[in-house]
Amino acid sequence: MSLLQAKGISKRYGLTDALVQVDLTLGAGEVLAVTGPSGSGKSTLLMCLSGITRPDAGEVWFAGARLDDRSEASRSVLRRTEIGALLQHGQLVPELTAAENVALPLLLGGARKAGALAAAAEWLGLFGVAPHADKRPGELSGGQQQKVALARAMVTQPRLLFADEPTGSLDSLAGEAVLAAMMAAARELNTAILLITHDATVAGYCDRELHLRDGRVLAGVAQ
Amino acid sequence: MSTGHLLLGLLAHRPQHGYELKRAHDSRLPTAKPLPFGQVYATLGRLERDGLIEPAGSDRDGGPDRVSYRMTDAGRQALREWLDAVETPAAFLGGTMFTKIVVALVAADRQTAMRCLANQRAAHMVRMRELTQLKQRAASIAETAAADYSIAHLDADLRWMQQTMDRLDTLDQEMNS
Amino acid sequence: MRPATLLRLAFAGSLTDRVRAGLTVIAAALAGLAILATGAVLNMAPTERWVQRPGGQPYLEQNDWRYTTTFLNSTGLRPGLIVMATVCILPALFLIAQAARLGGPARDRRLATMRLAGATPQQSRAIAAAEQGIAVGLGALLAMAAFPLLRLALHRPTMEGVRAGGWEGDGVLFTPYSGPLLPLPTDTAPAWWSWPLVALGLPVAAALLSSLALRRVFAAPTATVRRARRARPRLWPLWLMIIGLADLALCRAWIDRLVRSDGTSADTTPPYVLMGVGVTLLCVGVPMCAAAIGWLGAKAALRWGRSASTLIAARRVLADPYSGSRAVLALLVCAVLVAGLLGYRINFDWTNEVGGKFGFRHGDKQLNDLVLGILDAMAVIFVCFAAVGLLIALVDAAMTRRRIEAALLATGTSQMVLVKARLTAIMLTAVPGVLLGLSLGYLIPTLALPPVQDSAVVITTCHGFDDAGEVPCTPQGLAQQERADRGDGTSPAYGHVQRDPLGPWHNVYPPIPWDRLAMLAVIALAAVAAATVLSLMIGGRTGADTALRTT
Repeated sequence: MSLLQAKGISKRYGLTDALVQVDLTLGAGEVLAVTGPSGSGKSTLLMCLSGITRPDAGEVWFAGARLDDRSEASRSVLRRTEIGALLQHGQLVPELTAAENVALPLLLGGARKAGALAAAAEWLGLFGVAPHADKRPGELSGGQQQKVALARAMVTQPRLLFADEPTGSLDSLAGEAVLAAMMAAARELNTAILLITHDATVAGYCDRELHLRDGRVLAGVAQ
Repeated sequence: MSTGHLLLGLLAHRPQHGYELKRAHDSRLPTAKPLPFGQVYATLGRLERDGLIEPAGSDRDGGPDRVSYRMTDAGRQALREWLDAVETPAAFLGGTMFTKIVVALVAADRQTAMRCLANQRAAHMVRMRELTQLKQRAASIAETAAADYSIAHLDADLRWMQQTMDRLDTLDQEMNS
Repeated sequence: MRPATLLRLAFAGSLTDRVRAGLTVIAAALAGLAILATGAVLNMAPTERWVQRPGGQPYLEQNDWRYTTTFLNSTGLRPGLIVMATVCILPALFLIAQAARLGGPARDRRLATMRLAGATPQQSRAIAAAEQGIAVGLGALLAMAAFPLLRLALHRPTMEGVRAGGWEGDGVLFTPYSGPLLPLPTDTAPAWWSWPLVALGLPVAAALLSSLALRRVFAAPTATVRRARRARPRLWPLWLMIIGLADLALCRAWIDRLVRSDGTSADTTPPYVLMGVGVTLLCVGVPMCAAAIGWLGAKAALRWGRSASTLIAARRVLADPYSGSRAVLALLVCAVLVAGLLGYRINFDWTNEVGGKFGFRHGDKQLNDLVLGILDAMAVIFVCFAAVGLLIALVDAAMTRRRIEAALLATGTSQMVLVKARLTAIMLTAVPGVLLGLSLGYLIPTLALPPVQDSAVVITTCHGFDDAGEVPCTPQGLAQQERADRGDGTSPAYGHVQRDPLGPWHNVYPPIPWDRLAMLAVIALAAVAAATVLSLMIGGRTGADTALRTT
């Protein structure tokens, strides 16, 4: 059974069609790249799939249940427990330390502080940023920030990870390191990833590709 | 074989003779070398031998004999097959791909050109994934760097395809003006 | 979410957030003090008693003079005192609201980021509410601790005087007793309910309000919060003002026509009712039209301005007219208030000046002065709060704009241009706002109060000393009498001079005090300029290098 499924989702902003009849399936542990030029509807698709916005038409299913008509609170809980998110930047709370940022989803879930911070330290160590646990995001490099954000996304051991241009603000080697770490962690935990990028070399890390143009899926046959 | 397909594509809409074909080629592919007359006639001869084109008549107003050619059904079939075929994803494909897009726009339509690009993109991405896996499994930095080289060139082609998709409309207007 | 987590997240802020918390504590403490003071005023012991005279109706009579001022002693003025105390709570509440805005964008972003990490809407609301509620609660505690101390400190019975007395039996004053008099009602404790109101009501209300104010953020759990405020503000409040003013002017003309030249008049109730509608329209319209005024000012500046700083300033206001209007709003209200008081006082003095010619006195001048003095003091309090609110809004705006200004600096815009732009941006709203506020404030009492009437013919009769009867009036004698009335030592020429107005009556208006209005405008705008410069010094100053790096 597929983990995430979109059936004919469409979304309009005013007069522009952001998405037109997009279908998508993502199996457990599968890594899918959603590519396309800017304005092709990638981000809108992500917003619909993660339940941040509702599509005008179509359905989004997650783990056998409708996602798009759930309440905001229930989607929040889902985001905290089963779905992780990694964005280009600006996702860390600037006033909290790296460790506290990683522990945040656990703390919000009602975990004890000591336990949450221990788990956070473990994940920071896994991604090689343990020495920076007590620094604030402003004191870290872009690559380190993304690794901390990745640790935060993975600390709840989600079944699905949304990554929106996770290497967009990094140079290629730092980007490579973040991608390799993300892929390794996902394979280890059997986490499915939906990776949004406009960069073909980043899409090369994924199992499949879904290419969007003007809100439509562009099907290509590779012989 | 791409000069042959190119001439075939230029003949798709109306019969033309050798000189017209050379002019059409040179104006549509400005970065390519001008096509020598010798090569035009040799290629036309080969296409006629293979039954892809046939003489459509000749006019003789003042100058030497000028035979014009038209495309046969077999020629149409061959052109379609070529357009649908995917080039092996390798570095420096730009020239061939560009020729193909131009032919697709001249002989067929925008959708055909877009399909060409989409198919080629898919093929390139398959190769990209293979190379990325190779790179991740690389035992030495040298292997990684070698993989990086291929990936970068593949990426350059993919970027070119992306840009060409983006400007397909204006390219179409220019080619068929 | 555990309480410890809630606390950690509620106070995770940066320097700005700590400044906000500090200001909120102070503002809440002021609000708490104001509430407790109101409670105390409400609890003041009655200073009168029912007296049953033999054979007569019982009547209410003042029997206690505990305070040094009539205003506190008079029971009749008690409702006015209560209203004033209550009104003083408002600026403190306004300050709490204003302080809550400080560093708003950064706080909104932080909350949105937490939402991204999986906080439910309820949780982020709880975090915001805890932040605000705890700060206000702290302020409330401070107020409750400070009030008894203040009461002790201010309890200074300075004067000995007649404290109580009364009429005994058939109207003979019984022996009064003397005692210490109090300058302030420090002898009364606040009503019991004002304590829980401060301790619980204030923080709970603040928490509720802050979670309400943030509802837009909770709806958008994306990392970037987009605030698509309509660039063009509502312009219809301007119509409210125009209609209100027109209404006042028309009603004034109507009333003037109803007043006959013999001094009597037809029923003037309908125009006065209509006038009340106009005043209401103006009172509602003034605070609402600040954004529209700034917008129009910016449009004009864009059209006629030439310098780069004007361009930046005008575009800034056009892009978000509300942020400037928020800063100036309180000042605008103050301008109306102060100019209104000025208009009222001018009218009052004018009435007495004109009426004095024929011996009419309007109201109790001493009491009126006292009330006006208290109103003036309240106006000063309002102006102070408005200035602090303005400062907060400006510092906040400066901090929000750090990055943009740093980018401008980095690309070669001089610091001077940016300072000028900031000043111009605020002045675009402040100048027309203050001018409008002052004019409206002055016009409202001038148009709404009954006009002063003067008689064209006045008959003067002079009476001699010791009931000597009527004596002929001479110009010299009248001049001497006038000097004597002024009290410069001249002996009066007549026993008394009677002036009888004969009519026909006509309306006379006091000259507009341009000088005083202009001074008010200058003071208000100087305050704005000073606050802007101060905001630059407090934290708005940007360097091209620093601000571009902040994340």
